[in-house]
Amino acid sequence: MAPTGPRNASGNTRATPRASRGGISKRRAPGKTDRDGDVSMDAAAGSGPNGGPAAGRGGARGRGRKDTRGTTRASSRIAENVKNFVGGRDSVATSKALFNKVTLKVSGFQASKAAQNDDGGRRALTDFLERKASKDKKVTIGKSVMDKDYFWISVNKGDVPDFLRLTGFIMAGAPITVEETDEKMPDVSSTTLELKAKLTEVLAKRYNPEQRLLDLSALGTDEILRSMDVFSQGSRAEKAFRALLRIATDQYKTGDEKKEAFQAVSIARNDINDVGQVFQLAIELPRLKRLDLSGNNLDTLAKMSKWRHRFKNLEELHLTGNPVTALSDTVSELLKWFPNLQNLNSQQVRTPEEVAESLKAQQPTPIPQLPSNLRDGDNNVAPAFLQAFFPLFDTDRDRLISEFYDDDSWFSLSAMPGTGRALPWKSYMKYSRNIQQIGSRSASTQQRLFTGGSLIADLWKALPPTRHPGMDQPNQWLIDCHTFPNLADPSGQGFAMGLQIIVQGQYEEADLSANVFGTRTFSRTFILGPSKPNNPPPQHPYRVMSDQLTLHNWTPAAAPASIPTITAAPQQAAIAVPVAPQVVTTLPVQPAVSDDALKAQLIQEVSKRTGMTAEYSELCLSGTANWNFELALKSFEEQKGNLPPTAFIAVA
Amino acid sequence: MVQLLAQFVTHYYSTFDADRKNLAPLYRDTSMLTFQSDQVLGASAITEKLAGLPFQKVVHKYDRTDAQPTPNGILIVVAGQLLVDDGEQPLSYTQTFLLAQDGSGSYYVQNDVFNLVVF
Repeated sequence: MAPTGPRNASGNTRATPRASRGGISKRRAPGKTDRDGDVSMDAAAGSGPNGGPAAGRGGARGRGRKDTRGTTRASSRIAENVKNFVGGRDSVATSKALFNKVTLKVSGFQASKAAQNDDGGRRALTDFLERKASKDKKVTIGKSVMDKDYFWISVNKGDVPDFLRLTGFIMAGAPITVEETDEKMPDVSSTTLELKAKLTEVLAKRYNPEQRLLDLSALGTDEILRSMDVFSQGSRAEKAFRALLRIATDQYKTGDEKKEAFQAVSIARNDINDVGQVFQLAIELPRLKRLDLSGNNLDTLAKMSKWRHRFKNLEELHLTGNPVTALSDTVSELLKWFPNLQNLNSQQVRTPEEVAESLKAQQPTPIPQLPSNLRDGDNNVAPAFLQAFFPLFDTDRDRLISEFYDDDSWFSLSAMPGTGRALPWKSYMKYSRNIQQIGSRSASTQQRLFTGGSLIADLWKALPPTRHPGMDQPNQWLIDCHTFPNLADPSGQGFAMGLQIIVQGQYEEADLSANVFGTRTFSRTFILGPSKPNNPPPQHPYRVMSDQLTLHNWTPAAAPASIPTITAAPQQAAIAVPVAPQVVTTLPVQPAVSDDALKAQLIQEVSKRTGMTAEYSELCLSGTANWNFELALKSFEEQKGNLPPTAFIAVA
Repeated sequence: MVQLLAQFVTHYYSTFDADRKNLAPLYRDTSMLTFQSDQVLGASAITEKLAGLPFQKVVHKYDRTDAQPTPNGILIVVAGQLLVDDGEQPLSYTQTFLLAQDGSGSYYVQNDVFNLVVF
């Protein structure tokens, strides 16, 4: 299948964005040049034969200099048009006016070197024709279609002679013929359909549903493909290979379906000398388990390196008959490349246990998370406080202040606006502190440290209403509590016990200013100390000394719904955090959701929302979105104009 | 307080990311580290715990720090992200420090609570 020489021997590696898409395409207008302006200025400079400048200068209205110039332009343009009309020459103006399109067909290019390009020489030929036809004016080609025999082009009627005279010109080593035709430009969709039908026929014989095997071996000997003459040149063979793969996999919408349908692929005996020639396989079927590459012409590992980070699920690989198998480090390298590889050239190279170990080695060790822990000295202060605190914060913040805060209590909040969030941050940013940004803002930062119950109460009135999950839902909370001994007792009698409580969780919020509802993740640190003896009732034995609220980007790991409820399954970070056996299990943390299952779910959801294939959905999620569903959707919105059609699930 | 805080946070994370064993001088025998709810008491045990964490390389990026005075020191809350072992997925975390002043007036970490953001 591959060309025998290096891939770029024929100079066909130029990126041709349009190239791989067969079929009809509308030529883009060339870069806009102020053609009229140029023409008129040139004509004016020549003090036109039609008296343009003179007419301008001697104009009855007798305008100033600036206007004279304008008049010069306009009149010389008219002069130009008149000249062209009289001379019977095509001009920009007339061709624009007539706008008649004529179909021409070009032949002979098939023998040129350019025909070996990925696009069959289409781009080179278009450039050549336009350049050569544009002798003393700019000439462009409209629609074009390339089929087996002809390159069909649509040109302006006035430009026809410029193209017809190109017959006999040599394009990349081959003389071409340009002829006018009354035939209709072939409907490309029928050509494509015909091609597709043939390739489908090829595939039908080559798919084994029992073994889930797609046998694309020895394509060069396939009768149908030979009749289509797709393997005469390497680049066309590569294109055909991509087309075959696409047709084969197109009917499967998700990565899971593809993985089920295609567990094994053979591309043996195709004269492949670099896996780059069949790279598409790694894109279309990334989760392949068995791959047969035997009987090809791969001679070094470098020729396989494009697949180095691909096929993570590959268990079986056949390379027999490739010179690379004779190299000493091939086996050890391939074992590194493919963490699941067990069988190489029908030899067991790794046991399933070893595979498990190599997989484990590839994954970062998760940082274990113990469950919530209330080490509050067994006096039940922390649970009592938390159970009172959050319901009151949701319903009656003033009362909360009067219960637990006094004139020396501190409150501050720290928020950072995330991207792609449904919830606005505006309500918080006015009060948010970030001491990282000291300097110019330190004064305002100081102001944002709220001291005393009444100030704090005022601030809380300005914050959006919240609803925290009930304390009876332990998997919604992560709580740490510590005592610390050396707090000065407010009664002035030595030291008293303090309590530090760190709470992590999420709450529902209604941002009334924007009329938006949503969820936020928060961390809140309290320092509780003994009450002052002269506090007004109600008397709790302790008070809030410090209350620090940090808001995070909410990370809806597996929640597809835009407005989740607190009764929904608890969210988990994208990374699996295994829960160690509980030590003091007042408030256990929910078991971790497996990483892979979560990702699969996310991919499926993104695919559903965007219409993208599973591969592209995965790309979208794993990129800057970092498995954040909302971010992935946002980046999709930004990028969707740039995505190739292959990014989307074909609509039947 | 602001100055002290900025100094502390910069020092803590640059040391942590370079060689976390060198954090030992920040803790005392009464210091407590709670790492993902696992609790360790005392400077040497803390150093051991930090050194034994299941990653080699770590990079902290702290987005926000906030601080409040306490009767005997400062409460510092840091929120940020960290990358372990050249991973590609940053993990969000919060870390709460309680700095206290010892008899000689210098500050040490009395309580250090680290948690990944799991919600």
